[in-house]
Amino acid sequence: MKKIVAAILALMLVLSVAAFAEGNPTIAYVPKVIGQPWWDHVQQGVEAWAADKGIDVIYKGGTTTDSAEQVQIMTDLVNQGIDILCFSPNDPDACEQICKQARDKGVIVIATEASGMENVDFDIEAFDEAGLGAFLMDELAAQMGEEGEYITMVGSMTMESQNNWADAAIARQEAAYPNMTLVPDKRVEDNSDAQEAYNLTMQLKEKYPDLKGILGTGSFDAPGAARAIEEMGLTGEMFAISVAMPAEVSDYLINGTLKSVALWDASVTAKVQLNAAMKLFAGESIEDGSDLGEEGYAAIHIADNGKGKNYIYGDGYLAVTVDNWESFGF
Amino acid sequence: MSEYLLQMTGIDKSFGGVHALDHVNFAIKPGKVMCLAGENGCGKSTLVKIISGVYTRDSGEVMFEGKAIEKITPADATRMGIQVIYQDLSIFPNLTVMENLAINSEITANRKIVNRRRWEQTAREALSKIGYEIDLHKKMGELSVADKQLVAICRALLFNAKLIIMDEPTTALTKKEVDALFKTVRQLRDSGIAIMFISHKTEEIFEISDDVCIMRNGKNVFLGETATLTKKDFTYYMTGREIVDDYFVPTNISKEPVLKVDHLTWRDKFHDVSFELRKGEILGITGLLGSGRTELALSLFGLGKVHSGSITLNGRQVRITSPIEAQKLRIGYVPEDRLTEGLCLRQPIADNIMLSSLKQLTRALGMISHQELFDKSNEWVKTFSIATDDAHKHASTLSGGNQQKIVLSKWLNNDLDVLILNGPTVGVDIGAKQDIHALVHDLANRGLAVIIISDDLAEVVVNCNRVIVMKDGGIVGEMTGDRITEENILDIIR
Amino acid sequence: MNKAALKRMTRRTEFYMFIVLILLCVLVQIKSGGKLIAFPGIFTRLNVTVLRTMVVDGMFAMCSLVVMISGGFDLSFPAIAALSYSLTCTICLNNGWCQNSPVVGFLLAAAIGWVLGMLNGWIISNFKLNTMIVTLGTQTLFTGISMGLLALKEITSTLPNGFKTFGKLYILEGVDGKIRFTLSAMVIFLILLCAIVSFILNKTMFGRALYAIGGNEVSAERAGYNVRKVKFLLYSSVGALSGFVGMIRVCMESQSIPKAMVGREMTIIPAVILGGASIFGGEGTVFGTVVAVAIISLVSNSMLLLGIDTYWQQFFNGLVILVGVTVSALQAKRQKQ
Repeated sequence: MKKIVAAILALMLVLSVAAFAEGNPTIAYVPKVIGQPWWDHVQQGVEAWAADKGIDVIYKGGTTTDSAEQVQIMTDLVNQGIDILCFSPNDPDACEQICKQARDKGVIVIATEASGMENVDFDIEAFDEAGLGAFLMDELAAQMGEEGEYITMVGSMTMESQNNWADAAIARQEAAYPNMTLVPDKRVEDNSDAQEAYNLTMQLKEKYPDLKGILGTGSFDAPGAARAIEEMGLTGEMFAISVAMPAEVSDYLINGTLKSVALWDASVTAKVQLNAAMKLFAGESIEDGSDLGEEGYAAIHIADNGKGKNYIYGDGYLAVTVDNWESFGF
Repeated sequence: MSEYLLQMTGIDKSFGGVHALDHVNFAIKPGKVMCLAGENGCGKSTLVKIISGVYTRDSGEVMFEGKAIEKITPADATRMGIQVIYQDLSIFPNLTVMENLAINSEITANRKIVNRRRWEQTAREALSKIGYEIDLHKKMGELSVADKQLVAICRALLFNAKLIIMDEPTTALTKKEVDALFKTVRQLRDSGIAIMFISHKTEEIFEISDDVCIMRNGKNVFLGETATLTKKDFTYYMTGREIVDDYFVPTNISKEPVLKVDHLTWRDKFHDVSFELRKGEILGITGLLGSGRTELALSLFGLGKVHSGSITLNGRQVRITSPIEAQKLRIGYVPEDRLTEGLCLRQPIADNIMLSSLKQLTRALGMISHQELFDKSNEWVKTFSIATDDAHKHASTLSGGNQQKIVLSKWLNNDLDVLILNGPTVGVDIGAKQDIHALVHDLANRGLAVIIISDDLAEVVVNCNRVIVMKDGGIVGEMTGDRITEENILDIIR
Repeated sequence: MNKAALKRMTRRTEFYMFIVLILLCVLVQIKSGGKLIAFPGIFTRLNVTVLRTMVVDGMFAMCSLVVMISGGFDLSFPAIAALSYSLTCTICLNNGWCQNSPVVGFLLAAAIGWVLGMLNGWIISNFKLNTMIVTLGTQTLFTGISMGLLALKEITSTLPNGFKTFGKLYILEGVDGKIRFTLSAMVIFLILLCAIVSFILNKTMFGRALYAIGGNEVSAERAGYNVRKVKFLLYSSVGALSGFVGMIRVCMESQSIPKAMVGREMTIIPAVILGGASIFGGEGTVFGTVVAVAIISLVSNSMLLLGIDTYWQQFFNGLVILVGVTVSALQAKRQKQ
């Protein structure tokens, strides 16, 4: 029995290698996690791209947002022999080593939501991080009437992008909304779990009875906070915002607990990653103003990420409200 | 109706070609204590399992209360009034005494719901059978072995037992507890119950049994009244060879003491213990359980504490705080419970023998030569005639006596000055016992100083040239040579 | 109460855990300025939240408790729950079921859990394998089925209405200033389950069989229990219960997330041990388990309030495991002597 299983596995390995031994590059896409709506949507985008171009993409991710698991998957892929690696790191620092190895082997490495990474060819962001942070703050401030106490919430303190958005949001508040105050706890993490976001909201309101706004970042923050707000009967008096999937928060948008959430289409970003990688694979260069073939990326911006590496950003984000949520279709 | 409660004739049982029972005859009368004796592996437990319905016999006849019985299942056995009290007592340490007493009959009655009042009633009824009193709500695990045993007996009595089979019940009991147990056994016997008592301790068998059945190699070699048997005959039937008590005669005692203990005290355990030990001597230390004898040994081996007093070894005062230090000072210790303290049962025999002398086998970089280890251990297997065909087998495959030999060889492998043996033959067959004793005599006469700690007075008398008697943590008597007799020791202890 | 009974009580872990709980309550009450218990109304926003947190954890702890009493370990109950509710929600969603009443969903989840639990029970009772190894295997298998084979998705806003409204039911409503708080009706399930488990453990021969097997399996067999049957019944029932509790969780959180239960056993089992269950089997009570779950819920819900960094939550969980296991091992050692 054991031998048969081993033989089948070995055969599959050989076949999978053989399948990619054509003229096209071998491409792998590693999401933060699989089996979760945001990344399911990305997967659909990647699959659509693959069907469109007629190139296979290995889409492989962990079942949890554990960075060790993700690094292991990336290591396996690089050792298998790939030409292009696109990914979105759970912990950018943890991925540096394997990305360096990949690039040393000649693999083209394109990241997203990976600000400040060193060992990548390009980091593609849907938007400029400071811009999204300010956008979230502007939206929340408008809901709160530009006054009152608020706190920031992230999936985890190691998620660099989300923390950068939150920092940018605080900077924006300090500059533009003097009547708003950040409570002493400043930032809480919900382990990317809506239930935890709910519990935290309950506890925060207990500790800060005057708390009026929760500036969330990850896609679990607003739904969890909204459920707590609704249950406390504080709709219209306490507000929450974060990046979120329209379908996930439709109930709360409809009943008014959430006024708006921010969104960019991550499947588009994924396609841009793949387009950029193909461009580099073909020997073309990417410069400020290049066209990466998707809406919002017709004339891209290139900036320095602080480590001498370039990152690309589009004009990705927009506000989802009760009026437009249905138009997204996800 | 026949005079026998249970009569078995020509019982055969084989396991895959091995003849475990070969035409065994067995009979027991109501109101009698029948001892089933024999060395390990003689077929005792197979016979018990056939009686209790766990195994089915291949051939032979069984008559119970005059009626021929075709097939016995465990449930049949219970219904007929046969109860087995296993060596482990089959108790539940986590349940209360009450539950332990009542649970079996509740299950047998196929009850689904627990009725505390009924349970308590059942439990009280059980206790009343032998007039035994104990807190019903105490946890079973908190009782002493003797109390656990009495509870197990009471539980067996609930089933209107006509035959109670007790599998080596005295193994973990002190002398006093054994006396109490025997009192209960006689009480049961007098009420008309047949008791089948499994043991290999000669003294006990002669003390308690009316009849005896001795088995050897799957055959019964003796069946009859105990009174018609001498101890010498008994030993012969058990082992198949003549065994004479081989008293220790020291031939090689050194002038200077190798070990000198001065006013040694471990608070609350023992106090002011002083003695000397010369090479070539076998010193016996005896006393009741709790007299401090074991603790004294532990202190000499660095496992116990020393609050005051001194230990002098070869003229040099030493402090022993760990077994490693004791080993460096060439002191060896063979613990009482060889199974839990002295052996790694699931490791090969060879590894066990060489365990305490791995240093000698260690080469550069801490590597160990497996071949050398195996060769050396084979020497010991031969020297001690350890009954195994392959030293690679697990130590658990050996009988108790052979396990004890391994523990001994483990220590002798290192050059020792002092060897402390704690209860060296507890749970060991007569034959193996004899071998171990002979070996110890030989070692002493070759210049080793030996301390035997034991409450088996016969063992102390036969093997020691000097005996120290302890009581309540202090030395209460010392005797040498002809003065060492069981009577003299008992006089001091009592 | 006589002296002996009192002495027996003070030797139990539960007793000390109860004292710890009381002390902790006093501490939180004082430090938070009276937010834990209101006089005379008793209920406050904080304590209803604690009770709410206790529902799912407490019910899962019951699953774990009965298995541990029998001397086993079930690492697979979170995986069973996750697979049961994810599959149930997907089926209900696809067929348009449970828009009004959640009953069908609960029955379906319990049935799926029962089947999965039977697999555990069958392997454990037939092959007499170490329960920890078996359930570690089935845990991975079940997770693999839900994530890989069936590729079950998260269901949030599209969750059938019957589940959503059921989860929002409450038995008590109060107002703290402007803030409304409710005591979830799901607490009833916790209380009911505790009562049922307590009855089974103490008043039925099946319950006593679990203690007997946990205390000494060989003796239990000799005493006449059909150990194989008892174990099969135990693991299959625990499977069904896990599926049911999983659905409660879905209703309370208004979301079905296939991987939300991953690793939950590592917080539940230590809690059960902390509550007096022995890692060697044969010991454990419903009361002790509830007390331990209450301690953990209280701590996790008042950390922010008391100004303790959320990082400390991990530290606290680790401490619970260490303390629980140490106490359990020491107790077993004492009993051995």
